[in-house]
Amino acid sequence: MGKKKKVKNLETILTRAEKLFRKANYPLAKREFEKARKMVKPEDVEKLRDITEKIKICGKEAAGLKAEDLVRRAKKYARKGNPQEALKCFKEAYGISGEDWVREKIDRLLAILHDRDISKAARDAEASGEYLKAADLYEQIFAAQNRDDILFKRARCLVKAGRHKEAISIFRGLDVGDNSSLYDYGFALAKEDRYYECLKVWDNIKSQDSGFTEQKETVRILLKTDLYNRFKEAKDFGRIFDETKYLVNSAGLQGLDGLLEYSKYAWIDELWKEEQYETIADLITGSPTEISNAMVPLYAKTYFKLAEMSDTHLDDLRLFWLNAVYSGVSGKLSSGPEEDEIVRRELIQMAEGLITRHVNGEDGSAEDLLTLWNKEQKLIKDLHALVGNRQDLAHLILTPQLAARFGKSAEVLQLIRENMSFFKNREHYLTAGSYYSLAAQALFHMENGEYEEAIANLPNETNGDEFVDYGVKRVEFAYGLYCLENGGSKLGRYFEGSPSLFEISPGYEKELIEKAMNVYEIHKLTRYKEVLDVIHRIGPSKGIESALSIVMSRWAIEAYNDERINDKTLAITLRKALALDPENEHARGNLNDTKVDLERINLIKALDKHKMNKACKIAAESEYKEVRDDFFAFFRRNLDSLDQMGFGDKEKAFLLRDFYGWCARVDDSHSILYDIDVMLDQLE
Amino acid sequence: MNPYKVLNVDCRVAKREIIQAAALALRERKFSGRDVALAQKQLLDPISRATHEFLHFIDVKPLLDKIDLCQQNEQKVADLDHLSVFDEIL
Repeated sequence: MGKKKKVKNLETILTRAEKLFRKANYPLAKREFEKARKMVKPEDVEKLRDITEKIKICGKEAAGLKAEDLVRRAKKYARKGNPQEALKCFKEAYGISGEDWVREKIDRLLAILHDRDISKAARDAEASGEYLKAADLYEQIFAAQNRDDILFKRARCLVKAGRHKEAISIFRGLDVGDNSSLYDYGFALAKEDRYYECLKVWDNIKSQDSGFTEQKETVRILLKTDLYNRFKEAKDFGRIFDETKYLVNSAGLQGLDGLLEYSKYAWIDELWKEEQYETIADLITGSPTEISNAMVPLYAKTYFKLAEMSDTHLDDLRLFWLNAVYSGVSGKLSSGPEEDEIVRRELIQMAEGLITRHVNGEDGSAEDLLTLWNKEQKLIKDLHALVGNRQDLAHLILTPQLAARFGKSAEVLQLIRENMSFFKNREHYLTAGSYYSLAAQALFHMENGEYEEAIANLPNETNGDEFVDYGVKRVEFAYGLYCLENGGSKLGRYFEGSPSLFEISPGYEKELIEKAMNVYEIHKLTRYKEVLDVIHRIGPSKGIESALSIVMSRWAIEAYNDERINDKTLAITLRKALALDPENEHARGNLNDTKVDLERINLIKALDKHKMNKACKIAAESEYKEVRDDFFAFFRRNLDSLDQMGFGDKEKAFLLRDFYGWCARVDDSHSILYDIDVMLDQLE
Repeated sequence: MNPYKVLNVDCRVAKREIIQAAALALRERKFSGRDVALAQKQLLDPISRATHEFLHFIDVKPLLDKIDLCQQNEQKVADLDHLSVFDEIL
């Protein structure tokens, strides 16, 4: 019995163990299997082996489950920010499973814990003022984490530790934006005597803090001193200029004007050798300083180079070139005055070549440039000749525009006034002066054909200045001519000064007369008549009288043909024209024609109204055959149509006798009288 | 063409030096023989030389001479001490 029970127990245990095994409850299954193994007879080898195998599997599976559970717990600890506990679980799990990924987790956790420790150590070091130690620790953290914020911390610690160079090299590679980093970066730069860079960095800090403002001012003063020291070494003037300019512009620091100017020109000297003409142009045009005579050659040569390279700055070239070429007294360009003149001519031609090249390939504005160039060339040439070798006056050899820019126009005018005899005539003298006077701007507009601008820019008052007066008259005359051709109202006012202009410059009178002589259209004739009439009234001259006479007679004929005036006005106008110039054949011929026409019209009117005495008188007294022909033609028509008039013979004879009497009063030998006689004989 | 550049000489160069410079320039072959010959010719002719001197050289000395470079008395400044004002903001 006992044996049977024992077998039964073993089977039960094994069944239960298998059941637990199938349900993956390996720990309990293992226990049951172990119980069963104790009960199996030693000779039942196969069963023992089978149970042992199962126990092994259960042990392995149970361990795996335990490891999984440990990993789960480890992750939970990691999530909750408890890396120490997580590490413990991972380590235990690794002890069970020995898997590589668990090992990696353990390594990573160890690294984090290590960094945490270093971060804390770094913070502690920083807090206790051990900045260098802190910087080193931050470097270690950065090596592990590669984060910019760690670099910032390191750089700032380095600044505080006095390791400025290292700090600068770190800041340089970072996008520094917050005030604290900006301040530290600038501070490190300042400590390395890099004041300009420091200020540029600090300019990004928006702070009104008095301590900071004061320190910034200190750095400015340090930069100023540094600039003077570097200037003494006479190198890198470009940087000195930039930094000085920055100081002057940003803080208005005093005592730097000389340094700014000096470094600029010293730099320009370097730039010229490097052929950096654009930069030079930027420097000289961007400069707020006034241009002096001494700068003119530099400006001229720079603009020449630029114009030569790219056809730009032609206007600037025009402004400075002639002045540069003529600046100073003779002999300055070469070894002697004669050679000097040849060199000058050569240089002018070179610049002119550049302008002409542009004119040929460009719009009208370049042509205007050439017009001004030619005008200014004449003017400066005169001044140059006038000054001659007088060193004290050499600074006045200027074109009008530059003279105005230098505020030297009055001095130039005085020079011209004092040397009136130098000029070949009064016109030459006044022309020269006018371009340096208040009328200059208007005159230059006029030269460019900008008549509206010219008239708009005339000075309000001449104040008795002969140059202004002459300039005004020239502009008004030119504007008047422009309007004569293009239309305008009340043009006479622009010619009121013309008589006195013509006295000085007869060429203008000739020009006007020539234009007038070539006018045929009624609207232009009307304008010319008005203008010539004004000039004639103010200052008559033979030429103007003739022109007015011709214009008047042409106008009268055109106006009559256009039915704007009647015969009488025509005749009156023609008589007036003839009175102005008795040699006006146009007026004379037309006046004769007009007289014939007038008598013929009067004759017809008289005949139509049966005013036979008046008709006879007109025909008898007329100098013109055409009038008498009209008279007799009238009676010839009446004779021819007498039969159709329905008269009786008596009435016809009566009428024919009247005809005979009237015709005989005009011409008693006219053939019509014979015909009337024949007709009367036939009736009688 | 800048003959001074072609011959690598400055504006004070003597005639003899121009000829020497031309020979050197021909050897160096930086410019064509034609350009070197032209440059030599231009610098040996006084008119042409004066023209090119005007075109290719500037003289800033008159401008520099006019400038008053007196430095004002050096201002004494405080030492640069690190400010903590921006640390507090952080």
